[in-house]
Amino acid sequence: MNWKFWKKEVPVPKTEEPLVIEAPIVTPAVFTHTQKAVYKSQWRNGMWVMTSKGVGVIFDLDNNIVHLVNELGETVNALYALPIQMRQATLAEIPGPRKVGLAPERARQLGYM
Amino acid sequence: MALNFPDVGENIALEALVNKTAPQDLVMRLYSNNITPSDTDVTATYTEATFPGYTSAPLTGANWNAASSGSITYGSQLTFTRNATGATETIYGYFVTQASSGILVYSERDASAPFSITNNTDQLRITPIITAN
Repeated sequence: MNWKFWKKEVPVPKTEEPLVIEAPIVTPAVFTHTQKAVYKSQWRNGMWVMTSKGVGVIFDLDNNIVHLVNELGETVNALYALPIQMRQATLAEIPGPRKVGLAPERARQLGYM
Repeated sequence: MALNFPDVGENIALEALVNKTAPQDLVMRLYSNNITPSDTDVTATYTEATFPGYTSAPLTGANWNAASSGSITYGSQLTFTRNATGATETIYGYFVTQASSGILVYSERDASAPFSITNNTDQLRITPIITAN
């Protein structure tokens, strides 16, 4: 009896490569809130202003009253002035006795350029 | 006029707000130089009153009422009384400083100023009120 042997090829299933999904690299978002430097420019009581009659301080903004001052910073007169009729004073225009110890950078932040 | 917080006073308020610097009791003082309060004021800007009988008035923390609607009022009216007749002293308003540091916190010029304080028993009365705006 002839035995025939054959080799049955049994396909060996290929082991599937594990599915690897590379997670995308996520760079975390970083938000930085930076407050802008504040330079005061709003009209306000106590603000130094220059008017057609000279330098003064806004005494009553609601009623458009400015107190004009002399070179010593003393009040010498009251003036009715609308905002359009005046501008913020510069540091140089503020009388010396009324800006003692005021640093230029701080004056700039207050709007007195 | 609304009371005025100068730059130095604003800094005090901010540092107290965030608990960087402990607040202090305040002192109210009358001033006799013809000054309109401004951004750039410091304590030395003001000349304190000296009429006979004048003393500054302490504003102790416990005596302020609770704040309400953005405003806080001192618990009592302050009275500054002259106790002898003599040379007139003209008062324009008041300035408030910290009790310990002496730093100016706020000030106000009265719209009806000046007030002439001349005679015995002449008085100036103020109820401190601060309103946030």
